[in-house]
Amino acid sequence: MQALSDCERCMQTYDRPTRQALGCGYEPPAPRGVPVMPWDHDDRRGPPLTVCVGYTTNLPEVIEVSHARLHWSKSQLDAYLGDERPTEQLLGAIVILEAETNTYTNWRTTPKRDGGGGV
Amino acid sequence: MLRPQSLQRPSDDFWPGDPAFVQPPERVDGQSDEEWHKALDEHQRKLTVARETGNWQPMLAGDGQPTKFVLRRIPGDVYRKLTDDALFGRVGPGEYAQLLVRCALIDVVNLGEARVELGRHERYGKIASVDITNALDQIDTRIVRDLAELLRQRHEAVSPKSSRD
Repeated sequence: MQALSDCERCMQTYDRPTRQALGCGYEPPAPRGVPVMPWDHDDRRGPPLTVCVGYTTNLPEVIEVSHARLHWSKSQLDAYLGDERPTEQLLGAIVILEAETNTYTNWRTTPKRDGGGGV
Repeated sequence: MLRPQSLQRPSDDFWPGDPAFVQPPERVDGQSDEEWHKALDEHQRKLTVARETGNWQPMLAGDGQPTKFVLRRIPGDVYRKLTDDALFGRVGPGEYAQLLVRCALIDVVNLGEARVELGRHERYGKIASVDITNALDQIDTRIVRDLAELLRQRHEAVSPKSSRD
């Protein structure tokens, strides 16, 4: 799990074929026939992941929108942006992240017997 | 200090054809179509990673300094005017590309004496003077074309609808 949040550490720890099988965004696609299984929550619903979450969540634009969403959720987007007006892209990305977060929260708080990921 | 891609603020970008960068592999004798396309795909993937992460170091070919373009997000109303003008034939494809770049470009670094001078266009608002795109055309006409395509993709990449497609 630690490697998920630290790409450099992951690169030092695991060889290229292993990282390809985990969907590393820094590596070429795994050779045909090799199953790619990025880390994911067990039984999560939704489209399967194709790229490691460690790569995507460390991208500058993803970090930026997660900071912006935190401020937006407290009606503090203006404070985050200063004098600037939010771009359409930033607002669109906040909507996407909010929707996905709600989907995840719903799944996580639904008991397993009802198809969720909770207890 | 490189400013990585941002959904809100100006960011630094480069033209991949800049000789300071590793260029796509040329086909060698005896290389099959599949091998060559694989090599081209690999080059493209490295470029995508550099752009996404903001780490261009692996793309550098030597000690040369690439020309850096500082690009702002084009405001939605300006982008729509430009798109309308292109759709209804008020500007041709070449001029559309040039206007897209001029609307986004706010600074350039490592381009000799060339500087970006910002002015005000009666239709598109804040815009770089045509001198800078002319200077780029003198180096390589693909620069403006490729930067415009990058800007178009970047503008249309994030939408709540497209994320579910």
